Amino acid sequence: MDLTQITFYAIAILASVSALGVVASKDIVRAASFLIVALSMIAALFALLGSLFLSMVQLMIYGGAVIVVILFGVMLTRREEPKSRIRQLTRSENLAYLGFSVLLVLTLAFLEYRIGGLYLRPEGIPADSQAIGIVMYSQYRGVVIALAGLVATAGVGSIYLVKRKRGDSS
Amino acid sequence: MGLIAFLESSLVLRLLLVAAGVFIVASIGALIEIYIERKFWARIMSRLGPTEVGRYGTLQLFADAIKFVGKEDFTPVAADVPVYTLVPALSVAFSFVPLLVIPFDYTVASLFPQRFSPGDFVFSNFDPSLLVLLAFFALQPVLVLLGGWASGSKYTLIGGFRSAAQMISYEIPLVLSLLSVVVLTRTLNLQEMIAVQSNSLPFVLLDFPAFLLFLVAILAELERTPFDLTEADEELVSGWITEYGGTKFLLLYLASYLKAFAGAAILATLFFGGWLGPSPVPPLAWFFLKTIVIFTLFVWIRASYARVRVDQMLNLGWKYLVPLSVLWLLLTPFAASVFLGHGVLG
Repeated sequence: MDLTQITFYAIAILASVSALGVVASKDIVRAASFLIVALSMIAALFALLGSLFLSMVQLMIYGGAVIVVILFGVMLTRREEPKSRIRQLTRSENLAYLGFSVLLVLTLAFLEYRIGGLYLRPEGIPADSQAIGIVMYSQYRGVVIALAGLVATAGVGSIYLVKRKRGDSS
Repeated sequence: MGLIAFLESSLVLRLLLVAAGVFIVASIGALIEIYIERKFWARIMSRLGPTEVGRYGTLQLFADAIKFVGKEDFTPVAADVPVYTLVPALSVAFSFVPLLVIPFDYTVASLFPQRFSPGDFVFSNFDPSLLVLLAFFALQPVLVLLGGWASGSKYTLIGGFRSAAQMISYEIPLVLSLLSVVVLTRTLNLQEMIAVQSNSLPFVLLDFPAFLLFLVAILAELERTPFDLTEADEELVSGWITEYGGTKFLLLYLASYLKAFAGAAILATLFFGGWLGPSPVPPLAWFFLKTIVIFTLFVWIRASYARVRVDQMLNLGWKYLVPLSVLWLLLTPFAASVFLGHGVLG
């Protein structure tokens, strides 16, 4: 086992353990802290696969922005802490989700075992940021324009929602 | 040189050497910053600043550091101990990482051109090095929120909220004004950005609107006056760091000055040509000097302007800086074509 493999397994174990921590911890801020670790480990995996660009974008958007939104959300909406986290987790719909994820992982593992090459990066997919930019703005320009439209709509919508009504002094 | 050959044999050893070198440069920078902060600020306010310990008060910092380390290491009763203890350490680590991608290692290696080949001993020369810097700046609000929450006091929590809101608001104009430089240089690599500036005018002249927007945004991001309302030491106690004392406070203090050093260095890299300068003075000295001069400008701004209110801060961020930086980003390609036509952009 070489250094890359050891690093991969260390990151993978840390990511899995912290993902378990997210669902198992009773305190909501603790859960968010575990989520940061899990998402950062995903970023580390991207870096290990050779795409530093994707890794840093993951860290910037999920590690930074999304976590702050979650923390703001949970800190401002104080809710009763569940008495028993285990009892809450073992409700029927949660068990269904769990079963579905186990099934998904098993299917993927089976496909990898029988067919193989599922997780290899296909040839010709660029890794450095300039190449990513060229592909995005030539091959996938329709998708980029559609997403830009969506973001612009969301921006205008959020401004409309928080706009103070005339005569509203609060 | 057996030692150099030994170091060259292992990537991890070389990385450690570079990290140690950058840490030494950054720590010396942070010490000089704190001294300037006290002495220069005091002179502007017609005070003397530190005078007693060492010649011209130069050893005052060390006296203060010893005092902080010697204090009782306490933890508030209501604190969430693991998170509360981790935040100062992570704060220093996350403030130090941006310094690793700023090309200080190139300037240090260029002092010994025969011994350290830049290909082996320079790690800051990779493609999205600017993104690494931005990613670690983007993680700061999370630490602030966690630190404020973990202290277990409602005042630190409110301070954490204010701080995180400010950082998140000003991150957008910060990134947008940086993107204007990226458009001009067509790269995300900080070393190549400096290389582009070696055969063009410095970007502080070519990209002046982006420089102004970036300066305001970085002052807010570093929580320095006029945007230090999260700390506001005359009004609030000390914002989200109120419950931190002794060594933990020392770490947070060091982190804030490392962050300020990184902020000044990135400003020097993007707009003032980094290590470029007339040749008898080595690149390291030019880079260091530019960074320190920019930090002195931060202190000057601190001494000259009053603190803004929360609503003013949010208005300035969202209603002025964000639209202006978007507008300038849209205009940048046109400006770039004009500059290329006149031969002032390499």
